[in-house]
Amino acid sequence: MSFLTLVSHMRNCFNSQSFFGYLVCRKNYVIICAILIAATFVICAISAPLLYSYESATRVDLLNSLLLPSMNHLLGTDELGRDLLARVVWGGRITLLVALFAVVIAMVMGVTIGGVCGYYDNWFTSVVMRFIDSMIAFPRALFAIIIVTILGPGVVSLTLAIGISTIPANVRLFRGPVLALKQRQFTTAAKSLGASNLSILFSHILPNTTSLIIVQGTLSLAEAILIGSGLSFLGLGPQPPTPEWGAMIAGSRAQITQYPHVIFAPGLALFIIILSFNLIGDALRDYIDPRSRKAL
Amino acid sequence: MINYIIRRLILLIPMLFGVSIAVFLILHLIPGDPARMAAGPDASEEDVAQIRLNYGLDEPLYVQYGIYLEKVVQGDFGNSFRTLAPVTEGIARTFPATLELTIAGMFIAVLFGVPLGIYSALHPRGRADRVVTSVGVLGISMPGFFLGLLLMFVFSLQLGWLPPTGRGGLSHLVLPAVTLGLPYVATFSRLTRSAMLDVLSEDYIRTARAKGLSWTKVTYRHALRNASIPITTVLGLDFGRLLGGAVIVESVFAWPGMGRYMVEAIMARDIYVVQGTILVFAAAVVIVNLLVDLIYVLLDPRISYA
Repeated sequence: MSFLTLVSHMRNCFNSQSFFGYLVCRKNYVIICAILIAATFVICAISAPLLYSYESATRVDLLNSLLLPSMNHLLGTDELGRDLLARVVWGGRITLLVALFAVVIAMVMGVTIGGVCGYYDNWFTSVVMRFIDSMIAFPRALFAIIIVTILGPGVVSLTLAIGISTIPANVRLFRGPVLALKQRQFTTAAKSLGASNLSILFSHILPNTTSLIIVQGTLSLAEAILIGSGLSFLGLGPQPPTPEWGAMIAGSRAQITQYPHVIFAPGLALFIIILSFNLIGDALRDYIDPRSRKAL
Repeated sequence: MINYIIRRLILLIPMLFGVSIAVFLILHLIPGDPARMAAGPDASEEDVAQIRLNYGLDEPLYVQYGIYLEKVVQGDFGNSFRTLAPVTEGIARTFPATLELTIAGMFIAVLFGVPLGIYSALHPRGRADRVVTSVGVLGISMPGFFLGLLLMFVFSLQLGWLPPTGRGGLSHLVLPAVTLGLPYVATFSRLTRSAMLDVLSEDYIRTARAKGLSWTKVTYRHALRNASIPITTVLGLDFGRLLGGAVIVESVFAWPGMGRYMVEAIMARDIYVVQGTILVFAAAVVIVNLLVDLIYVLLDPRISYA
C-alpha cells in the first residue's frame, strides 16, 4: 500500500459515509469513546505477554497479598499476592478470546443452518426449525451449563458452551432475511444463468446479510462475555490459577468486606467492555439501518 | 377452554419425554464412570462394582432409561450419589426458594419497567424517554453477579440495611430480587414503550379520545390493555431467562435454591441430581409458557381456544 492510498483510506475513515465519520458528524462522542475503550482493551489483550509475563499473573506471593494500589502494583494485589493489573490484562485476553471464538462458532453455524433452512423449504428443514424453536424456549444459561457439564469445566468447553447455546437464536435470526432475499430478482437471475442452489445461497444470498452479521456479531460479543463470565463465576470456566474476570471475582469474593478493590477491578473491566460492545452494536445498527431507531 | 387446557397438558407429556431422553442421553455420555465418582477416590474395585449394581449402571442404556422413567413418573428422581438423600426431597426443598426469587425478580422488573415504558411512550423523545433508553443499555451490560456483589457491598456491608446472604423474611429477598430483576427493567420499559406507541396510533384510541374520555382512561383502559398482549408474551419468555439468571444470583447471595443445588451437583458429577433439576427447570419453563397462553384469553376476549 503506497502512502497516497493510505492517505485516501484515512480520509475515507473520516468522511460522512463511513461509520466513524457518521459518528463524528452526529457528534456521537459516547460511541467514539466506546470504540476507543474497546480498542484499548483489545490491544491490551493482544499485547498481554509484552506487558506482563503470564507468571506474574499467576505467581503466588503471600508476603505481598492484598496490597492497596501503589506504584509497584498499579491496581494493588489480590489475596494471593498476585498483581491485579497483570491478572486483569491476562484475564481480558482469555475472556475476549473465549467470547470471540464463541461468537465465530455461533455465527458460522447460525448463518449456515439459518441460510439452508430459509433457502430450502422442505419437511426436513421444517423439522429442524421446530427443534430450533423449542431450543430457544429453553433458558440459554441453563443450556450452556448443560454443555459445560458434558465437556467438563475449562476454557475450550466454556467457548463451545457459549457458542453452541447461541446457535438456535442465530438460526432463527438469519432464516428470516434469507426467506425474503430468496424472492428477490437477483436470485431468479442467478438461477436463470444456471447457478446451483448452493452457489446462489452462499455467493448471492448470504453476502447480502453481511450488515446483519456485523451488527449481530458485535452484540453477540457483549452477550458472550456476559454469559461466559457468569459461567466462570460459578466455577464452570477456566480453573484456577488461570486469570479470567468472572473466576477472579468468584475467587476473591471473600475480600469484599475489607478489600473491595480486588473485586471491583475485574468487575468494572467486565462492565465497561460489555457496555462498549453493546453501544457500538446499537450504533452500527442505527448506521446501517436508520429506520431501526424508530422501531426501538 | 377446559378442553384446550387438557389438550395442552397432554401435549406437555411428549415434550417432557423428549427433554428427559435428551438429558438422560447427554448425562450418560459424559466421560468418566459415575459409579467410581460415587464411590470416592479410595474405594476398592468391589465397592465400585457394588455401587454399579445398586444403581443399575451395568444395564444397557435403554434399560437404565426405562427404569429411570418409570421412577420419575412416580415422582422419584433417584438418590444423590453424595448424600444418598432422594433427589425429589432436594428439589422439594430448593425449588420453592428458586421460584420465590424468580417471581420476586419478575415483580421488580414489571413494577419499574412497565410504568417507565408507559411514561416514555406518552412523552416520546422527551427527557425521561432519552434517559430510559440510554440507561437501559447500562442494565443489560451489567453482569448479574457483579451487580449483586456491588449491591451487597453498598446496602449490607457499608450501610447495614439489609442482610447480605441467606433466605428468610422479606429483607433477605430484596437484594437478590433487585439483582435479578434490574437488568429486565430496561427490557420491559423498552418493550412497553414500543407496544404502547403502536397501540396509541390506532384509530380506536382517537375515537375514545374524541368521544370525550379522559387521557388517563384512554391510556389505562384502552391502550395498556391492548399493549399488554406483547408484554405478556415477553414476560413468559423472560421467565425462563430469569430462572437461568437465578442460578448465578443464588450463588452470589448463598440463596438455598435449586440453581445452587444443581451447580454443586455438576461439580461433583452427581448425575441423578443434575438430571432431576434440569427436568424440573424445563418443566417450569414449559408450564409458564402454557400459563401465558391462558392469560391471553383473560386479557383479550378476541382470543379464544374453542
